[in-house]
Amino acid sequence: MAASIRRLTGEPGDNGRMARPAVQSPATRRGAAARLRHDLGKAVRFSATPAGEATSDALRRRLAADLLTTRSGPDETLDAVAVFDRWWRSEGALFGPGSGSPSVTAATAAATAKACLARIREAVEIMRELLPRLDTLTDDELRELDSAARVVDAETRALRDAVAREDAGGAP
Amino acid sequence: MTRGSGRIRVLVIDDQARTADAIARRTTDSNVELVPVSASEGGTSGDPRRHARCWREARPWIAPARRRPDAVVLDLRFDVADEDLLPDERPLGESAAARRLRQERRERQGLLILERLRRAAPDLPVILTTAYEEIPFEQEAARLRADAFTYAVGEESANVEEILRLVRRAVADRESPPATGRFFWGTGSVMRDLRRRVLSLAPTPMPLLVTGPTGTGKNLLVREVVHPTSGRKGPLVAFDCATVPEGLLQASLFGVVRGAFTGAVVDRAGVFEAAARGTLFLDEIENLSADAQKMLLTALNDGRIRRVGASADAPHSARVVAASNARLEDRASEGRFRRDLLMRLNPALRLELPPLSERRADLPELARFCAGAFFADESHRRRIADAVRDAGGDPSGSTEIALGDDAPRDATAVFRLPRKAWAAMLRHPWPGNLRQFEMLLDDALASTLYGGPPPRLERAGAGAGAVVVFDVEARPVFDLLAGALATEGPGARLALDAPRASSVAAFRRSVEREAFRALFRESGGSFERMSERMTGSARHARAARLRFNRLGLSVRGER
Repeated sequence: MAASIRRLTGEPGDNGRMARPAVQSPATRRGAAARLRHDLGKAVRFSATPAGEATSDALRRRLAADLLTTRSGPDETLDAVAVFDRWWRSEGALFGPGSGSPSVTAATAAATAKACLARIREAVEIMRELLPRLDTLTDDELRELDSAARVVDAETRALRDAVAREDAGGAP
Repeated sequence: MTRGSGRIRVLVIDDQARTADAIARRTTDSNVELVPVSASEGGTSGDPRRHARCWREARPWIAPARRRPDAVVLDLRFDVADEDLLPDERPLGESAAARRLRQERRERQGLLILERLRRAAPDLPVILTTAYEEIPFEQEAARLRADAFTYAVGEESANVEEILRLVRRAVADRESPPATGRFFWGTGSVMRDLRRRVLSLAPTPMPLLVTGPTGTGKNLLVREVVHPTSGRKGPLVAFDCATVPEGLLQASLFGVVRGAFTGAVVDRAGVFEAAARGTLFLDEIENLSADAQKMLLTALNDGRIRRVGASADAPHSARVVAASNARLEDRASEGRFRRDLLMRLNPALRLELPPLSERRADLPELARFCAGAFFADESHRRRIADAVRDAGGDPSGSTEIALGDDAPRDATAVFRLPRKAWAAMLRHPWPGNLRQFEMLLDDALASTLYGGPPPRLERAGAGAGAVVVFDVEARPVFDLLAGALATEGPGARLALDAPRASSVAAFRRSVEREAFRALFRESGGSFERMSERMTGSARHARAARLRFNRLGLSVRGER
């Protein structure tokens, strides 16, 4: 599994190699944020229950289901890190330096979006470190991985909303 | 539901296996099972899968000949090949325009699939795994919200638990009985949507507004559904705003202390206090005077009331539900109803009961429901049993109504409504709505039972038992239908000046023009009232205005 993930995602550190998309309209940024929310944010806690898992093994099984097979089609299976890396390579440039709206009123929303994305990247880095060792993670590490998934869930939603606000000129 | 196995059969349409896998992991502790999509029936791979990746794979399971799933779980975005993408399932190429088109199709593929689903199965429950707020196409999202058979996960809880909860709720909604107590829901989409909203709003403490033409069951909705499902411990207190004299209104609503005025010899609670921790139902609220509206607004805004003659306010704990058959927005525009009071009654969340003329599909079930109540009445039951015994039938069996050519099902006594009479009832405009329908049917059944021809014994067929048939006569039904129209106020007859015209077509147009002119004047220049006179509902006001203008008439000219 790990080998196939590396083949699909490239090595860690690929994050800097972003292809700059040709079109950077507000709708494009909104679409990109919505795709990140759909493909990653909603998936990372898809099997979570409100009550939480009673045992470490149950938590490990749930994290495996949500984070190791985050997207799975007939041709490929991507874990959460690979899903993010692929999105970052193809659409991350939309959120790079100078990509925000020039409107002064939208500046706050743009800053919020950048902060959200920074927190998502931090959480993904935690996943990148812990996910390959999922079978042997300690209880504390399992909880850290679960927290990272919570951050991705919350921040992808916040990013999507911030980009929509930015598009609307900063209106709440 | 769940015919046979007792489990809910769910078809997942999603390009990803995630949802189906997560549901499959829950199948041991839930009553949900997945429809397997096999290669021979639309699937593309050799192994049976638990989800359809595109419309082509899902379509065979929705076909009329198949046993349909109980619910569909549907994703919004589909990363699949061009040949699997609706609307035309063809390769798009690699030009920049083609890439944009592919992207757009993938983003809205779920909506395109839902459109096909609705064509094939309009009332199949569909659970979207995407929250309404996350659908980037505003018009479609608004349309989905109005679809009574489509459910979307909450924005904060887009996970498998929420999906399973919605699946169970959708199936329960579909299978819920057609009536709650004496309130008849029927099975139409408008009432189904209303039921969902009632059940979600009833337990909240917020004031509610129930609207709809007279006779649609506003009172029954509050008594039989809203209050019982509110979870409130106190009683339901109904107050008819049209029947209390202006001078007594304040005391009736808020109570009075001894000595407040001549005749106030004891402290007396008003309806607000009587409905403590319960529901205060203010019927025909449009009849409240301006002063009473102001008092009510204060009570709703502050949550406090003051008895007449008291020196201090006291908190109240009644939940207010108001009903009206008038268009309160129009009254507010005319200055006859306080706009701030209207806003306090949450008009955006109003529970609007449609006129019966817009629920014709429910008429057969409604007829059986009303007839069932008639047959259950003790005095009618005794009379039926006597007549059945006299005719040689089994008086201990059940009684039912047969509509037109309906065959009796499992009853030993049947009231048979002639086909022509039932057809006339199906066409009737029912300006008095459910109340009028129920009264007419009661009259027809009573006249048959107490004054009609004696029932006759009929053999239902080989092996079947005997049935005693009460033939409902068609003529009295037609008379009752004609009478029902004639009693609907002065609008039933129009006096027209007979026009002279050069041709039949011109004469017809002149008659229509005169009719519209007379109706407009008799309705006081209100297209809503005019629409009510014409169709029994104010909903066709816009169509009435359009036709009015097309006939060359103008509001200014006729006023």
